[in-house]
Amino acid sequence: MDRSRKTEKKKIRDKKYSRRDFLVSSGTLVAGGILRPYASTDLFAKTLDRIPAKNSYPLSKGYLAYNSELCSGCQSCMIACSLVHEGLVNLSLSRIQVTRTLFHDYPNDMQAFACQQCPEPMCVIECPEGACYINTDKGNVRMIDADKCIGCGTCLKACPYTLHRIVWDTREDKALKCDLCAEASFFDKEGGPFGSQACVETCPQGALRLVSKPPD
Amino acid sequence: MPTPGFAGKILRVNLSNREIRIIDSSKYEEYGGGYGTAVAIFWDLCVAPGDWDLQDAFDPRNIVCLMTGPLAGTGVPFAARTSVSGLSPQSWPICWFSRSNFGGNFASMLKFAGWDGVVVQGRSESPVYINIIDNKVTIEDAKQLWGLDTWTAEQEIYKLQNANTSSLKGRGWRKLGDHYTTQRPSIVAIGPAGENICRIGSLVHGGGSSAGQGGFGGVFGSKNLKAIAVIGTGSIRIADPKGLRDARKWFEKTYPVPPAFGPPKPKASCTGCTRGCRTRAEAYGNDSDVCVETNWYNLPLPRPPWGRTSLNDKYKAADIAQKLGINAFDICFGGPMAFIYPGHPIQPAVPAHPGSGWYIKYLYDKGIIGPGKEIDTHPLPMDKYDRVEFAEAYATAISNRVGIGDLLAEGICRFAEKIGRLDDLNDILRCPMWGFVDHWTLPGVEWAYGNLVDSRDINNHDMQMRPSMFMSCDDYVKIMAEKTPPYNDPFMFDYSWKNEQAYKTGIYSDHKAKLVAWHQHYQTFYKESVLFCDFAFGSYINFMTRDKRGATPLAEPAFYNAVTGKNLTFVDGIEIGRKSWNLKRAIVTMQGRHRDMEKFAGYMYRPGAAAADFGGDLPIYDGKKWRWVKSSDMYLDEKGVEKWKTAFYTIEGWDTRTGYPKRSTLEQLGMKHVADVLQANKRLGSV
Repeated sequence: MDRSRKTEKKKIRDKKYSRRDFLVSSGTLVAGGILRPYASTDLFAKTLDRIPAKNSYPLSKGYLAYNSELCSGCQSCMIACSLVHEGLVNLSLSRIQVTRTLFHDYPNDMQAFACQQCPEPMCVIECPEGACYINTDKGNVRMIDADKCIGCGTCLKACPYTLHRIVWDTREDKALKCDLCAEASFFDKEGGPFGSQACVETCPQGALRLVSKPPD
Repeated sequence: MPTPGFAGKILRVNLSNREIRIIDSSKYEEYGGGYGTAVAIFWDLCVAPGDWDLQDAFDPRNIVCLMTGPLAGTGVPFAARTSVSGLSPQSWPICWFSRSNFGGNFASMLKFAGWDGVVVQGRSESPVYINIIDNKVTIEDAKQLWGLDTWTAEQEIYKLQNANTSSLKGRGWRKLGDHYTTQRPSIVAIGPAGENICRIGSLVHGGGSSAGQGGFGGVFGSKNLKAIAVIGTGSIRIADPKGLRDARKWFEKTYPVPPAFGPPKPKASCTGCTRGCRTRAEAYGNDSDVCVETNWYNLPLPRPPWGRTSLNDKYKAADIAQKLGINAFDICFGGPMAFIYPGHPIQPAVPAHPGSGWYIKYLYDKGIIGPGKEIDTHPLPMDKYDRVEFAEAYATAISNRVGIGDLLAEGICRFAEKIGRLDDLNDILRCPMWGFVDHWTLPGVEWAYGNLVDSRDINNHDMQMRPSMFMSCDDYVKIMAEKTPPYNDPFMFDYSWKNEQAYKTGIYSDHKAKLVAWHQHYQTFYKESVLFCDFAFGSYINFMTRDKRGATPLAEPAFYNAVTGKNLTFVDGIEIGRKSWNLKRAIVTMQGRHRDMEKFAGYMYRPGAAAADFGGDLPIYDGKKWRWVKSSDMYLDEKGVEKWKTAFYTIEGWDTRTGYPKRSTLEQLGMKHVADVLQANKRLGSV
């Protein structure tokens, strides 16, 4: 990416953070619950267009569940994920991350990290461009529209999890996240909560599965 | 742009002058990657210049190559191993050019970092480790790591790189190289055994993925190289992503692989693998598979087949060997299956894998060694031989070269040589070839012959299990012939050994020479260069399929082509293997290999040679029909072996008088330059 484009992006990012900061400091941001004052701002209008009921977010119809006791740390899920989404293998571009801490106690030596399809998806709520959205056609899976993503990084900061579940694609300076394979260009199956997921399908140990309720 | 599956470049590090260079992988792509590429690099860097005698594995001019295969990190199961090669200090009496390999995620991480391999030469003046972060390669000071066991060293490197999970920056993601990552470095390290330049020092990656046979840990130690750490954030291109996923699904569905030995779970896998044959950090046996490392301290029972040591003690011993970085096979106490044949005249009580752990007890019981004797057993507590504390004391003494450990650190045959007991090779010292402890060599004779013409215990288990209890002999031979193109010769599987039939179609025949040639070519390409795992390939018989047929020869090219986009046939792969095998032959020829040296240890020619029989009855053709025959009484006939060697050299296109490769053979394989070097050194075959 050339320098001028990066500079332009930085300007956009700085500008929007300033606006948000202003809203917070002036008390426009009302704390608590699912009340999201962002809803009244132009900034998030596009996001709201995609959400049918004000102040409530349709739950995803599917969630990834992981069992570290079964996981063998083979990272087949990561390989499959980048393969079906990007057409190549790259652990850094996998929307599910599996880490193994050798010499650590079982079963905490294996951990997996993927989007939890939050009931209140902060990435969706805070995305300034409406690039993060809830895809009601695909079982309400929380997704990122690559064409709309401007690479501002807001979703990274908004994600409530440590080891944020947004994956940063440095090739395009854009955000990626698990879409339960709803839009995986190199996947030959119907993805999403009602279809197949490459990671679940590929896991040889049955450590990953799709469940209909948020896993504990 | 490199061929899909390949990273495109090989890292060359000279520790003497700290020079870091890049080798273009495409220059060696015709060898298929992995070991094949390493053989060609060794020829170019060490042999062709002609500036040293290729005898001492600890010479700084020796190189150690850690190479990946084109399938590593692509999600192809059973294909994530790292090949290790160079002059082998364990090999006896000459440090032949040899190889080893290990699993885990080192190979895939190296590929993600953008490298097909690492070639290390020279010797650093002080301890160092090589740190690879994508394209950034540095030689780091390792003084603070020297003296640490492999596990501690790896954890210290994690700390040095701020890679412990608890200290990851950026909410779990770190920007390294081109991308962010959550991963920790993959590290291959040596322990005290390697540091003390033991000929049986191993390379240990992770908790228990080790390259043991060959002594390449000692080579690392001789170079003052403690470890190589790599973390990669880049991509591996795949020619046909859908085809690759389809191939994997087809393979998993059509050819289920039997579960690994040992506890069913928890288990850990190499990158992309479906099996999970290693243990997780549950208690002991951290990351070790259920093979020699979890069985080296397994005292033989009076009766076969199992040893008498508890699982807990075996796992403790596994951890000890992994931490010290020592080759568990050489120091084995008898092995997992201790078959004993009381009726045998020569070795009434020799277990299957009598490594030095067993041998020293034999010598001690005979009063040959012991406290205060000329060969003192200090510091070994011989009175505690049956306890795991002895295993620890034993492995530690060797790794630190203390007392008798200093002699044992030279490997079992050099130890026997130093104490003047090489005659034991005629009976109780079961090392058939080149100083490597017996490992199922007979009656599966292709293993024995493989050792004879190769440089090490070939460790190729794929033909060892013969399903004589579950399948007719006719069916077995028919399937095996089907599975071994281009020869497809059923008599390759005739193990007749007692009469004239042995010379017509049996173990001394042209057919058996053909089998061994095929087996070595297959191993060289598919198992050492493409780096398919020995636990699953070659896959000839599979009882979990309807027609009892395994995945060979369909799966290998299916995966290879999906990843690389090439149009390789199975037989093309065999031919590439033949090329690398011949180049390797040229290297050992330059080291001094001659037909006259290729002779088994004496015990192989005497009753009792097949005491380690484990694989079931053998197919025997009696001139009219096939039948299964128990053959654990097999031993070899010297005249027959000589006849077999002539047949083998003929098939390979080598001089039958000397065993040297012939110009016509090398030129037909596109290696005129190799023939020229051999000729200049008077090592070119003619007859």
